[in-house]
Amino acid sequence: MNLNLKAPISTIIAIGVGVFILSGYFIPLFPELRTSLLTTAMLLVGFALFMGVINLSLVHLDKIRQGSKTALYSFLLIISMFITFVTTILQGPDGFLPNWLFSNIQIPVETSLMAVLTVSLAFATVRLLTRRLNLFSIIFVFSAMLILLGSGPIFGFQIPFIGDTIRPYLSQILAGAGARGILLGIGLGTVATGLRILMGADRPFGG
Amino acid sequence: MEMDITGLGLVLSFFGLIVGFSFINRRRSGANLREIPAFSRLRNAIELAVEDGTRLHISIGRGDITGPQSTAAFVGLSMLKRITTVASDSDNPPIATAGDGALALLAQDTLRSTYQSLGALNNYDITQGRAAGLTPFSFAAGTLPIISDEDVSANILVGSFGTEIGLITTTGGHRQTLSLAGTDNIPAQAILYATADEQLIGEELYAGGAYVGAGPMHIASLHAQDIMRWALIAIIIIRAFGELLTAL
Amino acid sequence: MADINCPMCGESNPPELEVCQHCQARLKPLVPEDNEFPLDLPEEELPDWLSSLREDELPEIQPRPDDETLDWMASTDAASDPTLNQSSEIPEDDPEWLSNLRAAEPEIQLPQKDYDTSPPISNQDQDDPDWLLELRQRQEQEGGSSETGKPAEDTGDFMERIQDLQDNEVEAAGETSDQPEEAVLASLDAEDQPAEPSEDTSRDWLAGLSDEAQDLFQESAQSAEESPDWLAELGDSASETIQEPAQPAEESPDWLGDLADSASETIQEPAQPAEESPEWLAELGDSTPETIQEPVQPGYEPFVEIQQPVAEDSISSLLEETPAETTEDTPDWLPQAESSAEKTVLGQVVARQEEIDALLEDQPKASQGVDAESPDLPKKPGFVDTGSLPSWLVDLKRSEPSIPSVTPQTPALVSEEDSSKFSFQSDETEIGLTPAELPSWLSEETLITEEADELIYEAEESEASPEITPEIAPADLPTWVETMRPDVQEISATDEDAQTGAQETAGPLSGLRGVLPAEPEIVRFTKPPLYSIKLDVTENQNVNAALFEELIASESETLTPKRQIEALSQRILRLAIASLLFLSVLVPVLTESTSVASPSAATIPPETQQFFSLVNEFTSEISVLIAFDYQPGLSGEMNTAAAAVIDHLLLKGAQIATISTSPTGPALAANSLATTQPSHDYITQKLYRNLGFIAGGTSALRNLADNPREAVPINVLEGEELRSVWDMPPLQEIHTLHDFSLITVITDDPNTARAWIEQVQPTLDGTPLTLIISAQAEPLVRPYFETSPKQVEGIVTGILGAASYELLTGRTNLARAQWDAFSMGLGITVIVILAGGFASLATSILSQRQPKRSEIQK
Repeated sequence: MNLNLKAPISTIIAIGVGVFILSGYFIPLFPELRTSLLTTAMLLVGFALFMGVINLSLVHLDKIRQGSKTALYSFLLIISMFITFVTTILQGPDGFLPNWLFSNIQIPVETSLMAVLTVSLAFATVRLLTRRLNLFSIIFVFSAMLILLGSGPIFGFQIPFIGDTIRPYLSQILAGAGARGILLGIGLGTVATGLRILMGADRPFGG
Repeated sequence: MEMDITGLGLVLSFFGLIVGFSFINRRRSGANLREIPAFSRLRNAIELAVEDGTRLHISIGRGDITGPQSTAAFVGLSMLKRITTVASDSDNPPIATAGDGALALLAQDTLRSTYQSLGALNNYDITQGRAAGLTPFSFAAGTLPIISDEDVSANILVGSFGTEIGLITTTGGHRQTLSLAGTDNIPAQAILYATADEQLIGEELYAGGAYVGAGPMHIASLHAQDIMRWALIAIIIIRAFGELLTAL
Repeated sequence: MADINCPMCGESNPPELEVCQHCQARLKPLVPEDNEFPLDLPEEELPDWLSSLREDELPEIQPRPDDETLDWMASTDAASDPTLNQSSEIPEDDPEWLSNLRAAEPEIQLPQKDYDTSPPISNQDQDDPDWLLELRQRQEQEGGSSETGKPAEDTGDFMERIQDLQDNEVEAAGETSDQPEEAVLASLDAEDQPAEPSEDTSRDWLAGLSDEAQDLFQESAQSAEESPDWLAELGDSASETIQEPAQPAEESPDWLGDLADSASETIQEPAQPAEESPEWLAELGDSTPETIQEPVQPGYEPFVEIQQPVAEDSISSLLEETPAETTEDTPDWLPQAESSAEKTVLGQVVARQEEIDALLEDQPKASQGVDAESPDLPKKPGFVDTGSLPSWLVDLKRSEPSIPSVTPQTPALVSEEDSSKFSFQSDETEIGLTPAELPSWLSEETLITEEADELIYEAEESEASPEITPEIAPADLPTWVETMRPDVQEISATDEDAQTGAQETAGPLSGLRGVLPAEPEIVRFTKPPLYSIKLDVTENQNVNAALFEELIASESETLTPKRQIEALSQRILRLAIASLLFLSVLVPVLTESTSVASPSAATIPPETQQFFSLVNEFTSEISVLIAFDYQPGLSGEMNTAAAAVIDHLLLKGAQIATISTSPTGPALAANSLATTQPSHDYITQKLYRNLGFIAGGTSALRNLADNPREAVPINVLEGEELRSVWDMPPLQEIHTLHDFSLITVITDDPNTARAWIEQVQPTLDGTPLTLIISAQAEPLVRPYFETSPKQVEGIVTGILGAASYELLTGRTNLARAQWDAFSMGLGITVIVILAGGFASLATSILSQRQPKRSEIQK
């Protein structure tokens, strides 16, 4: 008899633990159990991080095996990951080589990506009126201009009214209010999604 | 304690509204949802991808499943499930990427279960769900080759993304692929407005399940969200006026 | 003119119609109404047999081809030919009435009469053959009365005339018995005209024959001492037992069957629409004994079936069922006919049938030569019972030459050999013809063909060798049927229907068109029509066809879509923007420019001021927890923003512990401290504690807030001893987060900031929580500073905040070094966005206006 118990068991566990943790925020019962469950969750998340690394390795190894056109980059990734792993195991996270690899490779790479993002955003802002010409696009560009003008001295000159009045008003009141409203909506959506999971109507864990 | 009761009341009322709307919607015909252009274009993009045999790229972001950002990732998983169901018979099956190890495992599990439910488990490959990177920019950097080299026609980015999403959508624009993105990160939403073809602002992200037909409970929770939003608006206005009057 | 009733459906139709308007059956016979069969034909136009009849000579019956020999003729040949199967058994396919005729050997002397040229008697008889009609007309002309004084039937009922003849015979008993025979012969001679190419003559003599026969019978009836019982019974039974022949009309001439039917019907119901079959023939069929069962040979069944019921019913009552003495040379039916007086009439019938057959064979459509002088009476094929044949018929059979029938299915009537046996003498009344008195057509060997003999022989051979499947010998039409064949040319000239339709190729109607098919359509196999496959295609059609072909061919081709490459202008624009930005930032850094003025005190944000004040109030050694929760990609901004604050804390003697909820946090912390605080030995000596990375995000923060020692169970190797980090300074006094003097979170993500605020701050119980954030997170985090009570005690936002903090501390740091580059970068960015934005706006507006102009111009 082939019984697929995976789905109902996982659902029961997910719903039960979720309800218990949620109720613990409102009704302080069994704090030790709640702490224990949270600790277990953190352990699983840490292990999931390790599983993510393994998954990443498997994907790139598969690319190397299939001989895709990006196999060289996959090979470099695997090699880099291996070297970093070995050095960190040997010297610890505070060791010389791990810090050197991190400080001289990872940080510059990611910083460069951020710089590319800056250029891309500037370019996207320039072409925004071409791609999507409407009132909101114009307001968007205009607001961005004001914030930039009030963020610091422009070629050494501080624009008086924009810097101390308009920019604070835009960023702290208009943008802040809008952001707060968006956050409220996101919060409601978060609660709704969580409740769907607790009700069993939404099972992102498969099965 | 007062705050705890308020929070508990909020959660319980939300729960009741979801259940109530689930029963009410059974009698209604249709979802009765407003038009969101992003999802309409998503539907067309899926159909085109299936027709011309190109790939769909679904990214569920890098949100931690233990935090509130995980709900955005869960919405992404729901959409991943639905899109995979529709596009499973495409020549190039969809690819799911995540910026977190746990989310990558969940994406793999969702894909596998979807193919299993379709009876096409042979078409499932474990590399269809992958962790592109474990840090935000490394995640973006790992996603760019997928867009460039794996014949992707549409990028569906639904989850918790940071500002690195600009790199993904910009690359998608350079490759003439459709970029449909939604995130719970507000600065990222601003970036999406300038770089993505279709963006989901605010709660539209959490309506994704309802618009792709993930289930009636998604529609019921969407209606419950609307009720609660108006309730919150009312409470805020009332309390604001009360504070104003008190101050005066 | 009165309406015509359709013979098929009985509906009334206008008289001018040729075809019924309801069922499309022919209303008018193919034979024109007008008498086109003149009786007074020149002698050279008369059929030979008719002429011979008039000259007391039997017409010469031409031998028929093999395939046209009737089966019954074959049986008679078999009877005449000793080499053939001379079984004493009655052939299976002989009609009963013929068998009886053989036994009876009647001698009938048919009156010799001219053809009646009068028009048909009534419209109801339009389907009757013309010869029959002629007979009736003649009767009418003669006053419509027979010699017996009885009025002649308008329908020309032959049998009634026969009955009248019988009556006359009774009345005129004194007349010699030879007279009927002579009369018959005379009438036959008179009718023995050479075969005409038209069917008029064949039918005319039949019509005349019927009248003559009627007269003859009347005369014979008068002259004879007693009327033959069988004749009377023939008349009676004909009225009783006339049955519609149920025939598969495929193999028998329809008109022949109709002839029999019409003949029978005219006897009993003159008002009924008569059919084409001669009445005397139908009556003959009715009068055949029931007991005579004549198995049907293939190919001859319909005719037999027609005759069978008639034979079974009538002839048996008419003929004496005396065993006929069969001879080798006489037809089987003839002895029966010779043995009874009633068979005299049958003998006349036989003779008439032979005449008809001969007539038909003389028709031009007849492919084979037909000796119409001796029309053969229908006889069951294969039936040879010469023993019972009358002598005159036997002689007739002997003397009859082979009569080639018109169609393969029509058998000869009587062989020449049997002709001599043909005798119309009966036991009681000899009205048969003596061999000397037999007309030429009876005495000569014109009746049974050699082909019939061959057919019989072949049939016997096939029976002997069953493994050989012999072909079914087509039946030959009787001569008198052949002579009745209508003239195709005349008909086609006058009748439009006869000009269309399929041409009949067999049977008595061969050559005619528009004939009702004998076979049901379901078994009629015709050649499928041939359609020309040549297609006339125009040039335009060719062009369109080629286009269509290309379209279809292109559907199967898979086109590889071209990957759209970004336009060159866009790539150049992107490069230009990047170059400007890089240069605007790179140049001030490389030149270490400090021309741009630092922000003024008035521009210092309050949250930064608050942060400074808070740190500045620390007087003794403090323990500070700094969380490095930002990405390595934003380390430039975040390091710049955190450098001044950490420097200030270190100046205040803070003991720092770092922690992170990001996997890269510990490494970032070490890198940031090492690069931004090289002047502090505390950092260079790594006297701070790095609590590492705590997984779990928000949950980890909640756990840390509840019990930091359990949330971060780290052991440090100090010398050779492994000690818990919490037992080492500065953490030995820390048991909860509240024990820290200050908690500072460095993050670029507002969500991370919110998580620290929401999860940790409630448990701090007075310990200030401060934030060093990126400029993008300020709008979301600032409300936590502006709320009351404050959840965040101080905020330093990006480079602007760091510059302001440095201004407050009076110590320059990274912010000052980057201030000129920051200013230049901002300026270039603003210019790029302004210029590009305006350019994009103008392009979009112009592009929208151009279609409108083109539409207006159109």
